[in-house]
Amino acid sequence: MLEVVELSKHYKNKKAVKGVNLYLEKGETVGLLGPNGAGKSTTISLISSLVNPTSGDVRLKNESILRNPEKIRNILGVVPQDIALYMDLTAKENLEFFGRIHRIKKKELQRRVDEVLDIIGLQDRKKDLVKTFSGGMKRRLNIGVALLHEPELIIMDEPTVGIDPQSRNYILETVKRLNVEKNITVLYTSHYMEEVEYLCDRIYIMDHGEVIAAGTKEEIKSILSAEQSIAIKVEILKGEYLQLLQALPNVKNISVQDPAITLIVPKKVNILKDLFKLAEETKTNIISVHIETPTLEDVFLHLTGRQLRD
Amino acid sequence: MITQLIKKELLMVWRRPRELVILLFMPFVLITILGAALGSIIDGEAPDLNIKLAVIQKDDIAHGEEKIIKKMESLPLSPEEKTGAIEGIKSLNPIRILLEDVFASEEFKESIQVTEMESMPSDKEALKYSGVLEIPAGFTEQFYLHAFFNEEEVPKLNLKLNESNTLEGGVLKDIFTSFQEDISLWSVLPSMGIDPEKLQNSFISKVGNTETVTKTKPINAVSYYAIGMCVMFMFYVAGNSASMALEEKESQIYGRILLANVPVPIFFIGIFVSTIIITFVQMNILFGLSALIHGVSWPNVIDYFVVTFILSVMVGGFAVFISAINYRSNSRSATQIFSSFFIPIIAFVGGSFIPVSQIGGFFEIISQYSPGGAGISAYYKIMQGFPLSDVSGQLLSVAITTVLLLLLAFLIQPRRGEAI
Repeated sequence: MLEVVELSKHYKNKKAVKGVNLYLEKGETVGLLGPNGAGKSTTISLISSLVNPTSGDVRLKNESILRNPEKIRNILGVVPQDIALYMDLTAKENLEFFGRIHRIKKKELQRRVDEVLDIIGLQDRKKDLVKTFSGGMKRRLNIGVALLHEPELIIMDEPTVGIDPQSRNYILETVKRLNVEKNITVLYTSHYMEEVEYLCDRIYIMDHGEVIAAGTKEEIKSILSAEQSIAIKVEILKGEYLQLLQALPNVKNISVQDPAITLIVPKKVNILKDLFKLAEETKTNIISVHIETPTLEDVFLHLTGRQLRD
Repeated sequence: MITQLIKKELLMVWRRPRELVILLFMPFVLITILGAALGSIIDGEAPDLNIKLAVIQKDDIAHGEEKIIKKMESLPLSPEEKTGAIEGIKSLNPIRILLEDVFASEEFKESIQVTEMESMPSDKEALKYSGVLEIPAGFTEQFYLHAFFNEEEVPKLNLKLNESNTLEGGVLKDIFTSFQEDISLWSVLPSMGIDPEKLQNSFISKVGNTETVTKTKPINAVSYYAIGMCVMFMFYVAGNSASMALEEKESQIYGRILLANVPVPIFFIGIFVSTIIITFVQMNILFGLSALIHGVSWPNVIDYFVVTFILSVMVGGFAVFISAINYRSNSRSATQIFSSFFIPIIAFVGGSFIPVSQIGGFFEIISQYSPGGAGISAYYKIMQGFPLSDVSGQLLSVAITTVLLLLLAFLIQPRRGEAI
């Protein structure tokens, strides 16, 4: 359905996107992961035709959209990272405004507004000003606006940032339902690995403007199939202990979420003996040690050297 | 599509109390305050005076006239010449003119209270009066002798002013200085063969009326500040519109609008038209309130609407121009500079705070054709009753400014593919 070929965007002092290749098949949900500044939002702006690329192409149904961006815009719904709504208008007025500028006819618009309000669960608050809404409600309406013109493809740029778990679940269920029931293609970016794991069939991982890994969840996890993840919980985390762990020759990655330390090491290496020895030397009390199969988070850490929410 | 963009803008302004306060409440309060505080300066109004004048009349006017008439009759003149001279004596009595024609006139009778006294009051008693006027004995006779027979000196009135009452005292001093000069003049007129009756009224008009240079309707202070403040605050609509437009970009609403296939120029036309409407409504509300509460009126309402519309279009041009800079620079610096620096300058140069005609010179010329000054000048003349053709220079200047702003905005506005 959509193909991105060697897409690049260079600004004066920065190469924001460097030769990105990706594709989306009709009806699938694809995750785009990357730490802050990885180039995800710029990639989304390039795909949605808001920004012209320096080089490369975006092809919709085998046709370039660079010269005719209207083609993708007609079938595309974008949920921006920010709340792109008028705070001084009601939910209904916002939907009507965006519906009208999408040239939806008046009678049809009322039907669509009602339908969208049902989907996002804001029917009973439709006459309230958006500025009176909670963060979760605003996020839901932000999604609702993108659904008004019944798009075939939705791009969601971190649609669950800064909201409560209940609203987050509601949004995830809504996205899943739209994908399953209406066969809408979704490109989803998030900081939450579990959201991507739950929603997406395939994943692209970006860092420093490049796609550094791509595939299904299983394929990505297999990157670390020869590795294992060791999670150590300590009573008091000491810098000295951490430094000694980092210096161990077989440790490929190390991340700290005080008081837990996660190490990525080859499966065949028995590192436990060293962990306890160093703990004894630095008088660090180990509370627990878990040996796990690497998760997507671990893969991300392995590939980027950073945690997803860094 | 443009209708939706405009409707949304109007709703947004209507629902923002802070903006409404800036655009409507503040100018109206300033009109009231400045109109009242600086009213007397602008209007040239005389302050309320309560002059108490004690008059000690020692002169016997009838006796003086009688003596002169007898002397005139004894002269070897023809009967016609004698009759003419006697009529001149009766019509040119300086003390009667002063007491009956000046102090009892419409202009002075409410502000000068005359009390006749037999003799000079004590110092303590004199403090109750703004001044004490003594008309010396033989004043009338001495005046006629000088005027008709060139004998004696010009007689003098004795005025003693209350020094603790400077304003009233000053007014009295001016009146009597002027009067003394006039009687000196009148006393030489008969000898020059001029009919003194023709000139005596000049004294009354000189001290009793404020003359206006033009024949048009004078504008009072409240009306002036209604114009000044309205023109100043109309520019805040432009700043406000540009600020709201930037919020749309910052929150990615602008991107969303472009994704609905709305061309960039259409988005800016929406800003332009909505700003025109908001400014036009703002002006009508402010001038409407000024009319209801302060009695500010327009001789020709159609002309007022024409000027208001043309100025509103210029404000729309400013809104689009500032928005284009904001969008291009991705910052609200242009709005901030415009609102906190440019508008006060426009207002000052234009004459929103003080009438620029009082400064005069080159500054006055610049002011007349500056964005604010042209607006103030056009409104001012229309309010005075000048026809629209008399403000064509100012309106042309506004139109040129508008076209320039729109052209610059078109050149600066972001192009397709530069949305973020």
